[in-house]
Amino acid sequence: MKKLLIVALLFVSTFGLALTDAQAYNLLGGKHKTKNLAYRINPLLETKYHSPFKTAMASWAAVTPISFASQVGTNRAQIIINGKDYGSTGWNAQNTNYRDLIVAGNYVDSIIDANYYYMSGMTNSTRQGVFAHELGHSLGLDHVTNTKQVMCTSRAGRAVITPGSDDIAGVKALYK
Amino acid sequence: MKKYEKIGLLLSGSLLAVSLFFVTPNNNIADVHAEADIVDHFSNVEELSARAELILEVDVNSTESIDFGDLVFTVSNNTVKKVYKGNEDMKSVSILETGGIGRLNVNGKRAEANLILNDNEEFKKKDKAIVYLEKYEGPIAKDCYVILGVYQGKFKLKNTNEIVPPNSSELSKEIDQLSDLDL
Repeated sequence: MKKLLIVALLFVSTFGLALTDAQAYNLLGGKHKTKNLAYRINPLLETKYHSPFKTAMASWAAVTPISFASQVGTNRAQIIINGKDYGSTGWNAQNTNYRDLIVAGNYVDSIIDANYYYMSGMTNSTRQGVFAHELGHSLGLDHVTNTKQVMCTSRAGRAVITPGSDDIAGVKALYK
Repeated sequence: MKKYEKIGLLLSGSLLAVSLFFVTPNNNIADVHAEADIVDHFSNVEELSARAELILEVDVNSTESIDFGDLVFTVSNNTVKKVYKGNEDMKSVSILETGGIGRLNVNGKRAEANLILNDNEEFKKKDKAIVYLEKYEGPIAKDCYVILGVYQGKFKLKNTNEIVPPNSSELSKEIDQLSDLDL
């Protein structure tokens, strides 16, 4: 009986915690090879987006092992930020992760596109939240429904502009 | 041939077949996944209905890909089978979606790839669906509508009663029959 109880407790502590973690953040199934990422701001990106993008990167760097540095010389940038007026497509910004073997392997390029149609009218702090969300995708996080996490699917429901505890746990799990 | 050699050969063959399956999906065109920050989030079909300019049952006749910026968009040309909201005389409608097959910047080179946004593929020829639409404003295409909530207002018809709700949507938890839409 005592053995059975110990086994049950072990089961609950192991799988119970795993379930809690799995529900707290979602992963896309990929990541960058390194924690030290180089970024490049497309020279054509309107200057009003530069500051909120940099603040969003800083918000991730402050609470995770990730660091961001501006691309130097001909070195390859892993994070690239572009922008354009795409019209009323229904999305503020999007991130596309390209892998080294196209359909498998680590992320080599994460390209973020800001949609000026929606983002030009936003405040800088709202833009920061959108970029922090997209950077979460660049790092390998998927959407969640918890509105207190920056990876919450929609800006309309999201209550934060910086990474929440689950977002941080997700990135820490990916980049140990 | 020895027994172990046969097993080895069989395993190698299976491994090769599985590898080819994953490396060459969609007729040698790789799937590239993108995730978007969505402007509007809909919790139920009542919210979708209230916001939609048009609610239609459509058949997809043809599709056309458009490369624009870093991304690919698809315009589908559809026959209107039934109008639930909007002009009842409407016979056809063009729908613009983000995603599709086009030339993307794959690993620093322009290459053909299939862009999929938030795990929801764009319309393909012969698809049938109920769509909640609003007018598109912007530079990519003229006289088009877009799906409300990017993909949230798109319900593919499996047969007369069953529908396939969009992925990554709260609505998908509660909707799998046409009657669930309360049209």
